[in-house]
Order: sequence, then structure tokens, then C-alpha cells
Amino acid sequence: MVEGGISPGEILRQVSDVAAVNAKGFLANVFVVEINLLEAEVKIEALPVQEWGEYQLQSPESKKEVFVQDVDRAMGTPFVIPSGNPLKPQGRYGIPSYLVYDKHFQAFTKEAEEVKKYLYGRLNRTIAVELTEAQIDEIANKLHEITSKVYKETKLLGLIVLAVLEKDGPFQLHETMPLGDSSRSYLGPSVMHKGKHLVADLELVKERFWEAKLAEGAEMGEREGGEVVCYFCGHEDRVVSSYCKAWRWFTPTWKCPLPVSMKPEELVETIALCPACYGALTYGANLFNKLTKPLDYWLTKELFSPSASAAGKEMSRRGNPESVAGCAYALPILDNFLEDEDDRLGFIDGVRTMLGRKPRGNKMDVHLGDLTGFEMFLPQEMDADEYRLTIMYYSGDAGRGDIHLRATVEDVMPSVARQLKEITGNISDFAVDLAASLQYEVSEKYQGFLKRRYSSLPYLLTTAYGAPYTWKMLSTVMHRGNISRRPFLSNVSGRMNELSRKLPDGFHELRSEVVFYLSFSEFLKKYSDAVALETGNGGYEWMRDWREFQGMVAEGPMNEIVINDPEELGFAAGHLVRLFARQYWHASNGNDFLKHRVMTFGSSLTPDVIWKRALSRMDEYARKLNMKISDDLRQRFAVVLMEYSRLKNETHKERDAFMAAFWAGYALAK
Amino acid sequence: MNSGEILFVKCVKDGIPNRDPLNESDARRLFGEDDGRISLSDVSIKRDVRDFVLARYPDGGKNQRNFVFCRQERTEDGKLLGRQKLAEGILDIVKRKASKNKRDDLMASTFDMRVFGAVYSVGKESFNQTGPVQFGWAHSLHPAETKYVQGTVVMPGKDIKVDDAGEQQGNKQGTIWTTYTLPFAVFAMPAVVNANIAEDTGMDKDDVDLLLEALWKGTQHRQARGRGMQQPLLMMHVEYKDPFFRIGYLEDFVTVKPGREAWTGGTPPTNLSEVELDVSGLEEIIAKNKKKIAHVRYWVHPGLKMSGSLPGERNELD
Repeated sequence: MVEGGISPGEILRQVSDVAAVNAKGFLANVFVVEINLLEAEVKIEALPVQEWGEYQLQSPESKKEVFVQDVDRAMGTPFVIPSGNPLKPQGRYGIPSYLVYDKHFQAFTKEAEEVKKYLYGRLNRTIAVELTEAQIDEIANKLHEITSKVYKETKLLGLIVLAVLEKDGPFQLHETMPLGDSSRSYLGPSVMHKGKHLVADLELVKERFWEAKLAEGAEMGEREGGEVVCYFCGHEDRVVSSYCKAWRWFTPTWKCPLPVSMKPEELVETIALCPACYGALTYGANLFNKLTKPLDYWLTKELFSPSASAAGKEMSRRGNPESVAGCAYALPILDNFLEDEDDRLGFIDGVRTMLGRKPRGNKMDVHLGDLTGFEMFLPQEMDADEYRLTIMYYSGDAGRGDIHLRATVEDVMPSVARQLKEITGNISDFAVDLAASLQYEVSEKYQGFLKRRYSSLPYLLTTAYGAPYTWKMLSTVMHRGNISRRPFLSNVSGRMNELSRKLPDGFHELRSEVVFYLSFSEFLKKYSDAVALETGNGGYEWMRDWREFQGMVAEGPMNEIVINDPEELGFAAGHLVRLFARQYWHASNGNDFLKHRVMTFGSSLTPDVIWKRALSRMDEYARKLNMKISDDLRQRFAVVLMEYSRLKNETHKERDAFMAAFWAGYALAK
Repeated sequence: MNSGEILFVKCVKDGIPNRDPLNESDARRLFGEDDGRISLSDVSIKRDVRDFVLARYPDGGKNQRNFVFCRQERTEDGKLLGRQKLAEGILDIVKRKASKNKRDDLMASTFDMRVFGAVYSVGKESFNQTGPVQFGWAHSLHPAETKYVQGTVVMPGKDIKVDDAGEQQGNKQGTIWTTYTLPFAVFAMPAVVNANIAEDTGMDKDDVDLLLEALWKGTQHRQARGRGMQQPLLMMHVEYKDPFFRIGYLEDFVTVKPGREAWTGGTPPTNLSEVELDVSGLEEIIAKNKKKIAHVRYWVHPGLKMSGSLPGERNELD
């Protein structure tokens, strides 16, 4: 991408911040100073203040106007929004275009000396621009004058561009405005030569920009001569250190990756890069930063909530968890893939689309935000299995090089991502349908809530397995690994058990857990059938579809009731207990059966308690309260009781499966 | 001194000895979700040792050789001291402030540098030294489930202020705390002692004895609510005749009873009397390598039930 295939303007757009949302303010006040070094007598004039962009309505319905920058113009004067103290000069400048903050404006309006100080600091770090002291004085005076007119003590941002006209320089005088010419961008009308225009040659701007970046690397060491070798490509000639302002993961201020005895200026002794590789590093680092997005806030809260405690989960939702950022990119698996012109163009288009973060109305672009937890698209060009996705998660303050890497998921096949996306889409529909079966009315808001959660793979995995395993599970699933059902059952039944103590008040939350239990079971089933390489299910048989199974237990012929395992037994028991509890409620003037008769003295519900105090004593309770329970129900109880005796040992081992299914049967019984 | 290995088994009640800041301070879980074991980093165990030595020898002990370099010390205005000041503090006491060879002087005066090594990076005086004693991660000998609990603090987070209208502003109620805790778990931790590196750092037999004492007593005296009540159960030191020989992974030869089913079931063990340490594997492997072993000594907590009998010399700590 650096060496060919995309226009210089496109490169400048991608490696600088001109197109960033937070660059808007700077381009609303652009101060261009025309400095003509082409003629014997050097002339300096300031152009009137310009707006490089226009105010547009925020949305068709809104009355609020926002400034939208004209990126095509700004590409001629690329800048990087600093991560350190913005008031100080930062890094190296390829061309003299400098950001101005409100504090600068305040100083500029006081006296020209302040502008001079500002310019000196930056010109010293600008490559290939040489101005005399007298010229800088004159520029400072002009800028002092013009900024004093504009600044009215309201917060202001701006951009100063010193358009130095010189032979073979990036800024030139043109007869016409560069309309439709993608190799040039327009700076404004010349003050000195009426009718002519100041124009930036993007190819030359790009060269200067790269040169400045290289100078940044050279700050931490530079070597030249026959004995130097590029760490990556083996090129011998000139190398600079890997210090790169855009790549904050490897900074000399953070000693960890360096030997303790090493000084920052000797960084070139560790990883040295030739100009081409350094350009690629800068480019890649910028793309990485631009592709990085924070995880959805609601999801971060879920990620850090305890999976085995319902109250803890609720509590965590109220807290403010640390923000986690994610980045995903796709790279071809074979080195020689990009040698083909078509493949290379496809790759470039793909990267461009990923940066755009918006689907092109093309159904083949897959929105993978549901899988990763942050906004991202996998463009059609990159969804073939010649590509592999890399996903990274980290927290901390990247600007300070303080990064806590949480997970790296490498080598994800696009086809697997697509399959998983399809499954989670189905699961969210499944969860909404299930909620409708559990409640009489499911509001649109609640549907939206369920859809968002159940289509999110990180949410499903973290709720099922708990925070310590989230990243590992994500990686396992994306690599088609085998995942176990047992920890999920243990966590979900733990939450249900906790909620059951609050019954009948906490029934709504319990129903939500039932939605999770059955939906995640469905996810596991679909995942095992369609994605996982091994289909073993940790010794588990899948429970039959709950509708089919419920139909058999509730209405099917008595001799056809077949219960395969403790999970199905739990579901059947839950269903029948709920039917009985309804009648009990009427007969006992509003007493909750489970609370009144089964979970006495605040005890927990276990398979044994259900068997001893609920299933086997139905007749006794019915007689005491003079309840008229049907023969059919009585016989169904008898079947479940017999099955319990048969499966007693297995049920003790699979207690969690029994209990989770019990609550599902209980909540779903009509 | 000889090269050797240490096996250290301890248990904890109602707390997590080493928390994971990346997982909301839950226990560290290095193994998969089906495995369920939890882990303690070597760093946390070395902290216990250092804290004990620091408390025992605030003046550096006999010959002023048992200072602790890696410690938390503050200036009068409450700022934490950096590496250079910490080192200078010690060298000042041992009257070697003008030392030209800080590495050797620090090694001679600080117990933890001699035993665990150090990374010292202060300007031109940087050096790093691998320690002769290397601890491994400690893992629980069984799956362990942590519990999420919460409680209340009677104090509000901020003081109540009365505004101009006479209304009270600020929290009127106490705050809520939440934490993960572990009811009960037994951990095993390995360590190796390298005689060759010990020569470099000046570590000697006395240091090994102090290390073992600190391991036991430092664990016992660990005072922090969140870390739980810890109890050393078994400590074994195996010394080899050959400095290049090692049995390795001694922790794999001990198991805890009852087995995993009991720990993952509804009523996992919750105290020491409910568990038993099976050391018969250890007994066997040591017997097998008898010829290469110079000396075995061990310490056992009186409340620990063991199956199998350990060879070597049984010691008591004062």
C-alpha cells in the first residue's frame, strides 16, 4: 500500500489526522501565510482567514449545524493531532502546517513575540524549511495581526499553514484552481499574484511527510553504511530506530521491552528499520489506531460482572468498568498474495472499507461487531479464506504507552466469522421468541434489549463462562474448538438458585435466566453442529427442543413419555410442579407452593428436595387442601417419579443441568 | 551450598492470596474453564518472604546483610521512594554510600537481591542479576470456586455539606463494597535453588535457612483481610549432590483428597480437617533418586492429614 496502489492523497488521509472527527475544529479557522521565495525580493502576506469545510445540518431533522471539514483540501497540509501535551511542538513536521489551540490564540493576541516563540519551536522540527529571522519576525507580525482580529475570547482552534513557494517545493502557484485533480489540493487565492492560486502538490507533500516520519524514528538512533541491516527486509544502507509516534505500544519511555542498560537514543540497536519498512510501520500503526474502537459500554459492564451471582451481575451493571478497546484487521495468509494486481487492489479497497466503518449497501460486507464487541466490518474483498483476521483487546492509556493487553485472537478464518455471525443472529431471534413464550407481552424496547445482547458473542460467552474465561472462550470459538457445557450449566444454575430464594418476587429475573439458559444451549447446539471441528459435547446429550419435549410431557400419551437424561428430567419436573403450584395457589388462598412447602427455612432447592418435598408428596398436599388434581396430572407425576428413581445417580452428578432445566420447565409451563 | 528444590504447600481460608487486576480482582485463573484450578504468582509469594525478613531484621540483622531492597518506603510527605533512593538508603546504613561497585555492595547487604536476584536500572549504574532461587506459580490442587460477595460501609464516601439554602448535600448513606472471595483452597508451589548462581550472588546456607523460615512464617503472618487466613501445611527442601541434577516438578507428586468431584459438587471441603494430602508419589520419586540426593528435610503442620510417609529429616520451626 505504501509503495503503490493508492494515490498520495489517500495515503495522506490515512496516515494523518485530517479526516478525524476531532480535526474539524482546526479546519474551521485556517491561517495561510504566503511566503514567496521564488523572487529576488522575498514577500510575505497573510491570506484572509478561511474555513476549509462548511456548516451542515447535523441530521435532516435537526436544526443544529455542525462543521464538516473538506478533507480534500486538508490533505495538502497534513497534520497529526498530538497525544502528549498539545501546546508543545511534537515529533517532526513534514510541511509547515501547525495546530493552534485556544491557549495559543490567547498568547498570540497579546504580542507578536508569542507567535514567534510558537513558530520557532515548530520550525526547528520542520524538515526542509529554512527561513531567516527577519522573515519569521514578519510572519509572526502578520499572524499576530490577523489572529487578534479573529479571536474574541471564545474557545477557538485553528491551523497555521506557511505556504513557502520555492523551486521544487510542495507548494506552488497555479493559474487555475485544481478542480477534479486528485494529485493537488487547494490552499487559497494568492494575495501577491491576483488571479493565481496557491496549490499543494500531494506527491511532494507525501514525500515530505514520510521524510518527517523517518526523522522521528531517527530521534532514537540512526545508522548508515554497509554494515547496517533492516530488521525486517534485510535491506542494507540506512536504518532508523523503530520509535514511531503512531505506534504507542513500543515507546522508549517504557523500559520493559528494552534491556535495562539501554538508553532511549540507542533504540536503533534493538529494532532497526530501513526507510521503506519504517514507512510501512508508520502506515500500519496509523491504520491500527484508526481501526481501534472501544467496546460497547453495556458490554464492558457485562464482561466484568460475576457469572455465578445474579445479585453481583446486577450490581456490576451499576458500576463504571474500565474501558476496553478492540482492533481487528485482515491480512492475506500468503506473502505473495499481493503480487497479483487484482488481489492488491482488492486488499486496498478492503482496507479502505474497514476504515470507513460503513457498509456500502453491499450485502456481502459482513458486520462483525456482534462477534468482536466493537464496530467493525469485514468487507467482501476480504471475506475469502485467503485472508485471516486478527483481533486484539486492550485497556489502559495508549497515549502514555500504558497498555494492558487482554487478548489476541489470531488466524480467524473469515468463513468461520461469517458462520458465527449467522448463528448469533439466529440466537437473538430465538431469545425473542422464547421471551414471548414466557411473558404475555414483550415490549419493543425489551425485544431490542434482547436482540442486542443475544446477538453478541462476547456477551453470550462471558455470561455463560465468566469473566476470567471470556477471551479464551472467544478464541476457542473463533478457532472452532470444542467447548464444554458443564461450567455454563454450573453458572446459570447458581444464578437461578440465588434468584429462587426471592420467589415469587424475583420471577422476572428468573425468567431472564431461563431465556439465557435455553438460548445459550441452542447456541452450543448450533455451534457444535455447524462450526466446531469436534462434535463431542463433554459427554452430554442435547436436550430435545423444549417445545417438542414440553408437548410430550404435558399432553402426549403416557406410554410415550421417554426421559433421556437428568436435564430432561429436570425440565419435566419443573413443568409438572408449576402446574401443581397453580392449583395450590388457588386452594391455599395465594400461597406460593415452592416457598410454602418446598423451600422451607430458606433452604436451597436441590434435585433431592424437589423429589422429597414436591414430587413425592403431591397426593398428600392435594388431600390436605382438598384439591382436585386430575388423574392425568397424577399419572404424569408418577412417570416423572419413576424416572427420577431410575436416573437418581446421574442426577446427583448432573445437578446443575437438572436444576437449570427445572426452572426452564417451571417458567415455561402454561 | 547445594542445588536443590523446594516444595511448599499452603492453604487459605476466606480470601484470595493473589488477585488478578485484569479480572476485577478475582482469583487468577490460568487453566481452562473446565479445569477450575486457580493460581498464585511467584511475585506474591516472594512478597510474603520479603515482608517477613523486613519485619524480622529492620536493622539488617547480624552483619547487616539481611536488608530488603524491594520494599515500599515513603518520604515524609508521603511520596514513594524509587529504586535509587531505596538502594542508597541501605548503602547509607552499611556505610558504603560512596561505593564504586553498587552491585556487589547491594548483594552483600540485601537478602532479597542475593536470593531472588534483581533488576536495577538507575542511569549508568544499571545491572541485572538472575536469582539463584526461582519460584514457580502456585496452583490449587483442586478446582476452586470463588464467591462474589458484597457488604456495606457505615461511612459515606464524602462528607455532608450544608448549602446556602440550608439543605444537606452529599451522600447520607454508607457505601457498598463488593469483592470476590474464596472459602477454602490448598495450593502447591515449587521452587528451584541453583548453587552456581548462588556463588555469583553470595547466597549461602544461612540464606536458604532464612528463606525457608520466611516462607513458612511469612505466610503465617500475612496480614491482609482480602488475602485470607493462610496456613503453611508442608514444606520440603531436597538438596542434590550434583549441582546439575534436578528431579523437577515435585508439586506434581502430591495430590489432595477428596478428588475433583467433591470440590465441584454441592458441598466442597471448607477446612483443613476435611482434606488429606497424599504424598506417596513424592515418597516414591525421592526413593528412586536416593543416590543423587544429599539431604531431605521437611516441615509439616500438625493439623495436616497425610497419606504416605516422607523420607528425610522432619523438622520443627521455633
